Amino acid sequence: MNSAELMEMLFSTFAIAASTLIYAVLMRVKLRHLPSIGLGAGMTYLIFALLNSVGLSLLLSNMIAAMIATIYGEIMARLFKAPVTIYSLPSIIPLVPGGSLYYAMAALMNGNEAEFVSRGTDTVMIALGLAIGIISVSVIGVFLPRPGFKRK
Amino acid sequence: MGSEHTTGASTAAPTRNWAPEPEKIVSGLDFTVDTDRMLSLAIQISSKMLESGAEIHRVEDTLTRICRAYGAREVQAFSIPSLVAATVTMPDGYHKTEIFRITSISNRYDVLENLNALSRRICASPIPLDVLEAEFEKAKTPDHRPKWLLMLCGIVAAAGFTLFFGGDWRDAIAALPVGALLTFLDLTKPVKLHVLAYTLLASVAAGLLCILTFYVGLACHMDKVMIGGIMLLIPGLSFGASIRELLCGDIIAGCLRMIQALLTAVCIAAGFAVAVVIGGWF
Repeated sequence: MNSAELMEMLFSTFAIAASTLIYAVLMRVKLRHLPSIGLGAGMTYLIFALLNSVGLSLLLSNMIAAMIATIYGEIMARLFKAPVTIYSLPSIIPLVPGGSLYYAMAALMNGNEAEFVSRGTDTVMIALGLAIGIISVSVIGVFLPRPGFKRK
Repeated sequence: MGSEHTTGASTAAPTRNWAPEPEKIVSGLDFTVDTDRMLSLAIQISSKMLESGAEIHRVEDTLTRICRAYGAREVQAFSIPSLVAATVTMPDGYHKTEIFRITSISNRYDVLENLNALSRRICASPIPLDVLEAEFEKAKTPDHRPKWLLMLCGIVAAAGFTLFFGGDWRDAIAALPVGALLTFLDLTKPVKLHVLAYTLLASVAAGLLCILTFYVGLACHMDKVMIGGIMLLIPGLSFGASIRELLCGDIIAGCLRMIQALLTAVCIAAGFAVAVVIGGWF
C-alpha cells in the first residue's frame, strides 16, 4: 500500500467518523455518547478498510469489522449504563451497503445485467457479513450479566 | 375498566386494590399498589421504549421486571413491533391483561435511555405509582434539540457521506440541499403516510433534487450525491437488528422487522430509480 492510498483511507475514516457522529445527533443520541460513537465508527471503518486492502473478501472483512463494532458497542453500553442499541446501530453505519445498493439499482435501470448481478451480490454479501458479525457477538452479549439489573 | 375484572380461579372475590401483606412485601415496598394502574404504567413505559427504538427482547424484559418488582406473582409479556401485551397475576390470584398498539417506531435514543434508566431504578427499588407516573412523564419528554440544529446535522451528514463515498468537494456542496430536503421531510412529515410510502416519496424527491444539482452544473458525480442522500434514509432499515431478534428467539418480531427492512430497501431503490427515469426525459 502506498502513501496516497493510506492518506485516502485516513481521509475516509475521518469523514465517516464525523458523518456518523453528526447523524447520531439526528437519532437523538445523548450528547455524552457522541465522542465514543464517532470513535467507534472511525475504528469500524478503518478495520474494514485494512482487512479489505490486505485481500480479505467483502463478506469476511465486513463480518470481522461488524464483530469488533458490536463488541465495542457492548462494552461501551455497559460502561455508560445505556441500552446497547445506542451504540450498535450507529457504529455499523460505515459498513452499510448504501453505495452498492445504489450501483445495483443504477445498473438495473441501464439494463446492464452483469453489473446488476455483481453489485447486487456485493450488497447481499455485505448485508450478510454484517448480520453474521452482529449476531455472533450480540447473541452472546444478551446472555451476559448487565450491571445495574439485579438477577432474580 | 373498573369493576368488571375477571376473577382468578375459585378464590373469593379478590380486591381490586391489592395491598401487599407483610409476608408478601417485596423488599422496600411499603405502599399499596393498584394492580390495574401498575400494569397500565408498566405497559406504557415498555411501549414507549419500543416506539423509541428498543429491541423486543428489552421490551419484554423491562415489562416483566417492572411487574415483578411491584409484586406480581406471574407475568406473561409478549411483544412484536406493532403490539405490546401482558397478563399479570398477583399473589391473591387477581389477574389482568392489557394490550398496547404501536403505530410508529422512530429512533429517539434520548427517550430510550431515560426510560431504561428509570426502569432500572424502579426495579432496584420500586417507587409509589404517583411518583412513577410523574417520572415517566419526565422521562418521555425528549431532550430539547432546536430544529435548526437537527437540520444543520442532516445537511452536514449528507455532505459527509458523499465525501466518504468518493465525491469531491463540489459533490459535497451539491449534497447540502439534498440533506436539507430529507431532514426537513423527516422533521415535519408534511403528509401523513406510513413509513414505506414516505420512504418512497422522499427517495423520489431527493433523487430529483440530485439530478437537478447535476444539470445545474454543481455536482460532477451524480451517483455520489445520490448515495449521500440514500445513506440518510438507510438506517431506517435495521437488517442486522432483525436477524439478531430472530436468533434471540423473537421469531415473529424478527420476521416482521426483516420484511420491513427489505421493503424499505426496495422502496429507496425504487424511489431513486423513478427519479432517474423522470430525469432521463429532460
